[in-house]
Amino acid sequence: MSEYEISCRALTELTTDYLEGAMSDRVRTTFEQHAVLCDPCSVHLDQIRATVRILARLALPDRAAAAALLAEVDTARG
Amino acid sequence: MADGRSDPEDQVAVEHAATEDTASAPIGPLVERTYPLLVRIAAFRGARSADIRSALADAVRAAAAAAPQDAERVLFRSLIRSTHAVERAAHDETRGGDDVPVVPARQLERDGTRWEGWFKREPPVFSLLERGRAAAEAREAADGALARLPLAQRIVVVLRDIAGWAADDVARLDAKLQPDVQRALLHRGRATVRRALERVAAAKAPTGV
Repeated sequence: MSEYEISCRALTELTTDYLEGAMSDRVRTTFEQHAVLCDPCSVHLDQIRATVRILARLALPDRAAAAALLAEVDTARG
Repeated sequence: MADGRSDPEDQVAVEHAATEDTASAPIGPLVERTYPLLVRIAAFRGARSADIRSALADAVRAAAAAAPQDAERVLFRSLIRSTHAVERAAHDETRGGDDVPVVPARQLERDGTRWEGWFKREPPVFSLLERGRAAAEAREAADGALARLPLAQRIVVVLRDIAGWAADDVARLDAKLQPDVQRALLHRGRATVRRALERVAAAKAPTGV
């Protein structure tokens, strides 16, 4: 067993730190070693990456609604 | 998070505006550009549309009264403050759920290595959710999950993952949103959205990986 082994539970808790680059080299190495060896954790990490990509596609322009809001505010301001 | 008190920086912005021609503030393009983000921050599950519109309008008015260079920050900060007040009045903030689908007592032996805590089942892959009809379902599920997030998580997920703001830019909105706090909120928020997407993925591919 590795001296720096982390559990699946710990890995899932550390995914954002990993993706944000907020890990020490030692922890990152341990994290990556686990992710390579453990299929479910590898899939979990991919799920989080996909979640971020899907979230990034949510912001669709809504110019009509924005214009209506601006008109409403302008009317209230007189 | 926002506590409804006047912010010294906002006060400076408003005082600045009092000496300027506020009608010339370029608020229109800013609102058009940020409108989807503003709505995602202001809209929580169970929110009344009138409350959302009121919070949005208050934020736009505050931004219009600010100096142009402060308008975006004032817009978001004002919206967060208004939304916080509305959401607190509507219900107590719910905690994000535990995102760890594991059985702690079991261990996996793989290549001579034992990992404590193992997934109950193989998690489904999400590649299916990024194309075709499933992509629309995934976006809808993500939308719904976003609206169920506690405000602090919603703010960070919207600004970091949807708007693509840097951690430092988000931290400037609120001193409590330092990068380490953001990571914790981002993690919880993403985890909730991930769970919603996993339900969609599992329905599409019930046998998993």
